[in-house]
Amino acid sequence: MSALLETNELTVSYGGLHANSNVNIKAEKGKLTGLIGPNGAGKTTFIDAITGFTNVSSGRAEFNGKDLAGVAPDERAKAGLVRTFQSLELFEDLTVWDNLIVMAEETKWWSFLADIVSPNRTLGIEEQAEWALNLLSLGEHRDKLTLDLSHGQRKLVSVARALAAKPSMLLLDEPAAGLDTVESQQLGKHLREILKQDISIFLIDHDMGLVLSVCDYIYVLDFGKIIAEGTPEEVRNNPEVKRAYLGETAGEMQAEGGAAAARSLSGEG
Amino acid sequence: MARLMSHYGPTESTPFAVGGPHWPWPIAMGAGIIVSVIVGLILAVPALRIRGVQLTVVTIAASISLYSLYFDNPKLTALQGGSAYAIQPPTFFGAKFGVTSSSGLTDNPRFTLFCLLVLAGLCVTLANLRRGSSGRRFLAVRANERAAASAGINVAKTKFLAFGIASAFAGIAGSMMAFQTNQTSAPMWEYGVGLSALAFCYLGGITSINGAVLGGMLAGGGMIATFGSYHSPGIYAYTAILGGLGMILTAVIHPAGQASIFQPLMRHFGSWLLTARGKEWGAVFKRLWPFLLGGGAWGAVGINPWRTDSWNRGWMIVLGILIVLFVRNIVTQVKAAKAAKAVPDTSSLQEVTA
Repeated sequence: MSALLETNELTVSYGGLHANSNVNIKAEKGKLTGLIGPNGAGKTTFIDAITGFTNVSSGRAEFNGKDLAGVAPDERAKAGLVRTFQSLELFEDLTVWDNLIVMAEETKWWSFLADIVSPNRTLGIEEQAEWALNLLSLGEHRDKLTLDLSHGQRKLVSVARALAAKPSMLLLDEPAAGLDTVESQQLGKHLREILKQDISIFLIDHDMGLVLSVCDYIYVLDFGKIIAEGTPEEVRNNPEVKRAYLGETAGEMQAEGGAAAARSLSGEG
Repeated sequence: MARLMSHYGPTESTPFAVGGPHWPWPIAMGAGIIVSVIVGLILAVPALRIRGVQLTVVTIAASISLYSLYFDNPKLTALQGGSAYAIQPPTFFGAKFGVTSSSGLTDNPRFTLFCLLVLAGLCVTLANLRRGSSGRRFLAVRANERAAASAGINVAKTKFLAFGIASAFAGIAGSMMAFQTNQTSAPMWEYGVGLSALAFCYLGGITSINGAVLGGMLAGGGMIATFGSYHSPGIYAYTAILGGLGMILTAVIHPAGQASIFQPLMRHFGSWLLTARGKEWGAVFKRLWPFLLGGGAWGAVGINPWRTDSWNRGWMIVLGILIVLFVRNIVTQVKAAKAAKAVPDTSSLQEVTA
């Protein structure tokens, strides 16, 4: 079975630093694929590389069987590969509803002329935006500016905005960061619901509880390399993963302390 | 958008409307707008890479070089040293809409009508663009280019579109300025004029249509300056000084510009106009008649006793009424704001205790 999103020996380097090296990932259609790893492992770099926000040094990425090399970020989004950002990056001058609509609408070269005549015309995308809004229980905040919402709500708006585009694959960059346990569980439920709408998900997060409970297949990234992959059960029991991410004994942590400090100093993120 | 408009406005205009080809005015004006759009699109190229202050500096530099390269270049135009081309005044089916009336003075009321129609058309166009999908995309790109790209918005195309539309507006503004002065010469399009227009736009309020209109009224040659000169001739000399002072005060007290102060008034009045019937009008007249009468009387005798041109006294009565109502509104708003401060709002507290 061919994967919806596939990378082959994908490498991203900044100078001498390999943020991602030879990453091979397959995200199947209709599945929830997860990517976990400690801080600075190169998770966000990976999403940036796939969505065209950073240059790939070598290797290739394919979406829907098509090579992504040289495709502009907005073209990738139009092709159905839509992402969220760890730092939200909402359109703060727009209302929640407009944030969703701007994502969903398709424009032609003459759209601005149509706007002059009829700015409030129906665009045929309202249904999808409405669905995304209601799924994440944002209905009551519809006409508020995103600036006026709490951090948790803004997180949900960023997910709803991505969904409004009706993507075939949704890339979520730490959607649970900043959410409390209840909110994060709720998000997990929403994610399973999204899958039913024929939207595949690629989830990056720190929240181990969330990732292990909702994902179908998980990759573990450390120092830019895939160190493990498998079902949640396999990953949970993988000794390599336990050592790198889930927990180490006190003695091992002390030994690793110097290396971790050096990593944070190098500014890898 | 108002910023771009004011900024490019005076640098490009209707270079073909004059002396040379003797085209009919609509064609000359159209050519002026097209040239303006082309220049605007060329200037949009650096905007793909830079934004904010850097972009402003680049566009100012471009307008300076454009001035030397084209407007003040004797090889291309005959405008050097302030010599002027005459402009063919606009006409509609034989009716003259130029600024000069039959008496030879620049007081043709039809020109005012022409200006008002153009202004209204541009305001509606701009408001619709802002409310429609293009406006959403403009704001998205302004807020966050990365996120806009991830939303499937082509950032470069959106910027080109914004510059193109702004330049078209600037082209129209330039043509109207040429019609207003009946001629065009190089100093009219000097970069300093553009900067002054930009300053007045900032004073009015950047990013709002009201702001652009208010800025236009405040600018030299605008309504407020002209009215000021009725009362105290020679105030023209101080327009720039007062404008500069106003700008400093605006930056300190009201960084969003003056128009935002009048926003509630405009909104209130607009919705009232849409819903008011005979009864409402009657109630308003009952309440306001002393102000209408007083304003009208002041307008008839107070504002313009020494004007010698053909201005109708009737206009002055209307102007007097408008000014009195305007001042009354400001006083009521200030009073209301003071009253709201004096009585602390206890309704929310009561809700909680109930």
